Amino acid sequence: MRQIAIYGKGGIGKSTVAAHLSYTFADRGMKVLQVGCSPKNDSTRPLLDDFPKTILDVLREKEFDYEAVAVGDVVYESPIAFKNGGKVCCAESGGPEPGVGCGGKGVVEAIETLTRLNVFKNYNFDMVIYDILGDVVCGGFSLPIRQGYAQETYVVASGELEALYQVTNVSKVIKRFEVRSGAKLGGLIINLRRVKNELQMVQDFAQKIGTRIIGIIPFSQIVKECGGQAKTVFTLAPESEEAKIYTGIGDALLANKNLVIPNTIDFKDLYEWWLQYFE
Amino acid sequence: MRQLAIYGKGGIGKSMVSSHISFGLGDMGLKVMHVGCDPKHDSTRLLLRGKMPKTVLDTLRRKNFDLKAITRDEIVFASPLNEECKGKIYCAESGGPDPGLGCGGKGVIEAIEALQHLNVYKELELDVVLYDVLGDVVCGGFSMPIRQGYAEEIYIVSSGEIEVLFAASNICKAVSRFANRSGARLGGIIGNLRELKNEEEILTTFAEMMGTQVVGFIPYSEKIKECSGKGMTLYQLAPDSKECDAFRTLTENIWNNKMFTIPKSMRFEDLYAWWRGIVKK
Repeated sequence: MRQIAIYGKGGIGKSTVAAHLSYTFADRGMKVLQVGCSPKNDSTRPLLDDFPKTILDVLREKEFDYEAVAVGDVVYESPIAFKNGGKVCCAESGGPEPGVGCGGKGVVEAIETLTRLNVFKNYNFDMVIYDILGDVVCGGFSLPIRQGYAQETYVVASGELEALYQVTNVSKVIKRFEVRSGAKLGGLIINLRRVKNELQMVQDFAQKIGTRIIGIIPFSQIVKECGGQAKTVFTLAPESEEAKIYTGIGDALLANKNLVIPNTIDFKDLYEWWLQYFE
Repeated sequence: MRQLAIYGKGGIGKSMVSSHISFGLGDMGLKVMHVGCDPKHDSTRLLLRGKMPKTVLDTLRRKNFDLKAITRDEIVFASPLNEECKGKIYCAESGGPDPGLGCGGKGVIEAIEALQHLNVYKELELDVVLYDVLGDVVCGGFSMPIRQGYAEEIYIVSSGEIEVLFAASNICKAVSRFANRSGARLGGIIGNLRELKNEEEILTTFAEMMGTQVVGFIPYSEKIKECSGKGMTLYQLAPDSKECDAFRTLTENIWNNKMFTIPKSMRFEDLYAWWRGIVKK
């Protein structure tokens, strides 16, 4: 079973990428579990008809009695039919009540609950994808890397400064915990955002931190529209160029063996480096 | 002294907007303190000619968290733009934890406490303090300025995108949760437009549903993007532009604002259903 984590700053298109990866892997005949680890709990929305109950909500209902939770309460199978026996199951961690407690708690609870329910072992998943909010790489949100659940990490980024900064934060976490966790960086998935010299910039950036770009998604109205309707492009525009791009990224990721401990960059240096693309 | 907090989803342009508000208030002749409460510590860089100051947390770490060993000059920086505005602008950055360790909101609490301990607000005779706070994760840490009653007026930067509205509605929940205890109130929504269909209508209706108002719209603009690359505000870069005027109007509306409410909130499912309806129109 392969376990990968998708990080990236909020709004960068992380969940869209994760959902399209899950779809592509299932289309290749794999059994996939996508775990949404964002308090917004909409990571798996394009793969389900409705919002699933979050693990934290279920736990609250059952007063945190893990024994009382059944797999069917927290894991939802996508109604999408895949060929070759592929399937996608979805789970959402949920998050704390706004203003109270720790934002990363949902991630911890979600993974612990799924482990206790033996979901990873009993359901023969070929692939688990964790889709994780990366704006605050505090203790909670970094758990999948720290504990070595996800051996491979991918970061969704653009040429925007904040997006690149998240990559450097995730890189720092990987470097810090690499001995203990074995987790490594698999590469970047680029969502272009019409930033000046963006393509050159992100290519240079990948080289700078010692990783590679797995795929580049152009700025697209079709993807935006699909996001608005909470569907994948495979469902709404299967013949589109965008659909081919996402499939290509899924296949490239499956074939990827290039896992690295990335170089880290301080924000100040990153910022000065980034500025030169605007001169 | 008034204390404002600007919240909003990461990447929405919170720091951009709040830097312009700080300069705008300074330009009106006020003494302003801009406190960046984001681990990225770049909230004040447009006010410091692109430079990024040492953070409060970094300084505290260096001094083994001995508040007595810190002086004001180590954590508060006067803006070089003070030469060109009538008032005064001061900057501080909270900083954050090392990536992967500890609590993301810790820097916010530490920073505010250090500023309080040094009696900065009184000594500088400030008219207004502005906190620029990350709002993606409205966990205990990042909601601290609201909970502890430091931030009396909350403004939320939002576009018409669904994720951004969701973050805004979560911030509303945090405000209403602590409104009685802390006295914090919502002052309004700042619309940062992203070229979405019916976006002004989305934001105006959203504000009404939350029981508040839109205090200003910032147009989508390449010029504004340039600020980030050049490390300055539009007041320096393009003072006569319509974009700069939008910031002037926004600043005035905030300063003259009299509408402070305890916001309502919405479940994500309901928010999403409403949003779909208005986008489809």
